[in-house]
Amino acid sequence: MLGIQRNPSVRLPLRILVNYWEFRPTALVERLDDLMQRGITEIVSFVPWQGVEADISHALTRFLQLAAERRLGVSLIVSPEVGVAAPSSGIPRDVLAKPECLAIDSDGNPCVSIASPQAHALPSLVSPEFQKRYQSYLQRVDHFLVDALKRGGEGVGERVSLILTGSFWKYYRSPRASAADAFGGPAGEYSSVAGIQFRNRVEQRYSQPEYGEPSPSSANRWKLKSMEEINRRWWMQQSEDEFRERAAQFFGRKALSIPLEQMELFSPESDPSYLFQRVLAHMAGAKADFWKLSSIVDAAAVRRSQVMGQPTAPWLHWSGSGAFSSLSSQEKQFLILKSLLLTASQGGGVILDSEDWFALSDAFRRRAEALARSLAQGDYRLRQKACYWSPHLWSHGGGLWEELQQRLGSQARLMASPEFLRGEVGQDAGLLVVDPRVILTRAELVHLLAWTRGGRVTAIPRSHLYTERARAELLRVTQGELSGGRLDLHVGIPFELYITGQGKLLVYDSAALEKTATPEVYRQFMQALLGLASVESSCAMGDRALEVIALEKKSGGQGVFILNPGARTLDSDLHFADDVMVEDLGQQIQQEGAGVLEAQASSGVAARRFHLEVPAWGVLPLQVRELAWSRELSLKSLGNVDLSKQKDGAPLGRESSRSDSLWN
Amino acid sequence: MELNQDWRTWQATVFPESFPARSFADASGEGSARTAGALYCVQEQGYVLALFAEGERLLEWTGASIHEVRAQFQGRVIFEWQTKDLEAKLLESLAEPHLLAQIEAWRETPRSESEALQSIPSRRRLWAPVSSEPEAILAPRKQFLFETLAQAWWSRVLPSSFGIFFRWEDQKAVAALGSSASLAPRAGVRDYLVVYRKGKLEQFGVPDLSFLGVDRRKDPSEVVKYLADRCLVPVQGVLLNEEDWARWSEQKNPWREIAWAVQSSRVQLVPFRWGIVSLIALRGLLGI
Repeated sequence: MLGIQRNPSVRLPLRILVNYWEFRPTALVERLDDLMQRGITEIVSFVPWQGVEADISHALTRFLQLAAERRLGVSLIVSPEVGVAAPSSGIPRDVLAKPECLAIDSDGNPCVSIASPQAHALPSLVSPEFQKRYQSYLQRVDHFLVDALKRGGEGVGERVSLILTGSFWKYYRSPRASAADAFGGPAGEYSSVAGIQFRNRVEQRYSQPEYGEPSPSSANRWKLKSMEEINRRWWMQQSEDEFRERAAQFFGRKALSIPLEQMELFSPESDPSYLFQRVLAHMAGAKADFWKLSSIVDAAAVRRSQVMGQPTAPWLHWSGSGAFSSLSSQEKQFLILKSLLLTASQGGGVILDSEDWFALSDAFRRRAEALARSLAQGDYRLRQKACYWSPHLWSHGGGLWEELQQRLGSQARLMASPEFLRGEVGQDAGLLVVDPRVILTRAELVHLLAWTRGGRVTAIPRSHLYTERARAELLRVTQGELSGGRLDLHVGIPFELYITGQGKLLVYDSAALEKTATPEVYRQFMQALLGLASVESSCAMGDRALEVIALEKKSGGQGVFILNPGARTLDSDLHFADDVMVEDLGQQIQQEGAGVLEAQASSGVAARRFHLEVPAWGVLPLQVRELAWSRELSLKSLGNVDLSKQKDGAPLGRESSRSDSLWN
Repeated sequence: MELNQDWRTWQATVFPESFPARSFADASGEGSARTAGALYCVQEQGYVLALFAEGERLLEWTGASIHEVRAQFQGRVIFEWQTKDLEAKLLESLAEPHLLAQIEAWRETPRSESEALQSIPSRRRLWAPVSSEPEAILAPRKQFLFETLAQAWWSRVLPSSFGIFFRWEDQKAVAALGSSASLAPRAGVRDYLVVYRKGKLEQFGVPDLSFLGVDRRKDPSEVVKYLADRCLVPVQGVLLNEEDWARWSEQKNPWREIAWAVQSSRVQLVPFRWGIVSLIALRGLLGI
């Protein structure tokens, strides 16, 4: 059953949402009892701002006590979020009634979120008025928690954790700009209040000595009108980081014994890129656009945020009363598995409404739980092969990023700070591409160069967005210690290549890139970059309608998941660069999830190309092992293998009369 | 925090089979295929920002010219909205109290319709239970009761503010309980309350009856009295079978069947009001 912890230190990446404020006291008791009987040990609840302010009956305290009595772990999401299922997502009405508190998108329209029970405007997180109210909300949450700990004793304290999220920042996007590409166009808050704060921060930033060199008047070049867009992106990212840090510090200062967790919670149903589709579906009285939701999951999963230098775990929230609930069971199952694979393999997970979860079949839930458990144990990990440093995480990454994502899929990562290179991402990635709109300081450049020397490839733009110190450092390095190994190349655009330590530094001409910005130029250039870094996609499907998620397996090899997001069975070839051994993985996941230490390996087949048949909405799990010896032994005779002929099981996302089998 | 607009239970209540119930795209038959074929498009300066048809993958059409779309989907009904109109209506609708009212407001956005709508042959209309009127195709999933309540004739007869208390009994669940049913009087029973004020649906959700004693909760007349006092509106109680409600909710006009059900006491009105019975009978037998 979900939530049963075989290893208490492992927390499942599949969490059940029970909003305490949606239930009357007796109904809440019944619901918690029911969950307990179903084997649930951990639940999540949003803490709606409006609800907390009006909570005269101390419902939150009572909820925590009730949960503690049933030994249920409770995670409370205390940041304001969309898709909360409360009126205006729990944001107080008076906050939304003030025009100066509303967020405005890049088109000049108020940012809107459609989340049942009503569509509402989003408040501006930079508005001083909002900030003031938000602080008092945090105080009140703290007050309730102290009260709950006092009344409930240690039982409550041991089982409660707080979750802070990225709140509304990622939703400040224009529905028009993001209609075609989920994170298309500039994201950001464009209200007049935000404008004032933006100007102040720009002044503050460029008053630092590094920007005022060689003469104080040099600082003015950073404030030119032509720099507006670049500065906006930087400022939005800074504001978001500060907002999150302040909230973390608030609860840190309070020194409650309650653990604090940072999440990047994302609600695809409430995303601006889905707004028009959702309006149309509602007007038509039709079910949601599954494909649009699926594409938004892809776009969100490759972005990684951070708080105080630490990467945050990506989580997806599928609400029980939004577009997700209108989908068919097969579509829901597909999205749950896809979300799990993309988020839990990066330390995140999926939050699901309890009713939605238990409406799914027992067989599916068993499979999903086994997968969740395997992912939580770290058996599978999404390796980030290449990174892209963009000035703003939620804005459009540009043509280079698009090309990188197209080539590597979920193994490409967009980030908004070079701090990431210090962690897991830095260890994994073989390539870093710096966006031409990034302002580079000397310290950042030094950091990048040090990372590159460890055997990586870094592509930095030759642009005017270097501080004087950074420019001098680049000159010193390229004309000094690295000048001997310089190569001038032209693949799509001109660039210089330097060998530095075991790595390669590539300085590309950003002006040329801008001038000749065609898909072909991006393709050629990115191909050259990936070639230099020896980074390639693990495998590829012949039919692009099929999706591939390749995860690194702790015990060696890869777990490759082939997803069919369609209502028709598709058959296609799966290509690898070299001969590999392919085995069934579904059964192994179930065994691993069930705590069987050494799952029996099934007999596999070796080849470079495999023919697969993936049923509608199916998720086909494969184990792939490299054959280091294959070329030496000239196993050419293995040729192509038709796996579609091996029909003795069911893929993860499909129902099967044989729950323990693997293939369709 | 009281949720007096419970969207989750609304979906399950108004469209009991599923929300939004069956996909029209999956339905067989010419009549339904015509309805399924409707496309919904948001365009800006002749280019598609969003194209939607239930159960169809149309993502690749984003950014295409509207002429291409019209040419490709010739013969299908296409509803088109200009982005600025839809955005304006969306912002205007934020003042509405809940998503249902907001959706109704969005439907009022000026739109254009393809000629295919007018060219539907009349013989096909015989096949299709759904009218070929644009409104019916645009929003084919209106529930019979709430559609009727929104009609001008009924709204003139009914008070401007009133409530309807539903109590559904799932007879299968009650039968399954057998002799133990008396021990669990609430099992298999589901309550729901909708409140209209000034002619507009304002509140919907499972009513809070926790202030009533267990015995009084079982008595519909006590519940109706309590809810009327609490909401300060006259409340009409309706007791019916879960299966009947599910079946009627899937029908366009089940009023005749309902009229007979009232007559045979399969549907009980609490309190029994002749005025309400007359309305149901007129609707069921004369269609008005």
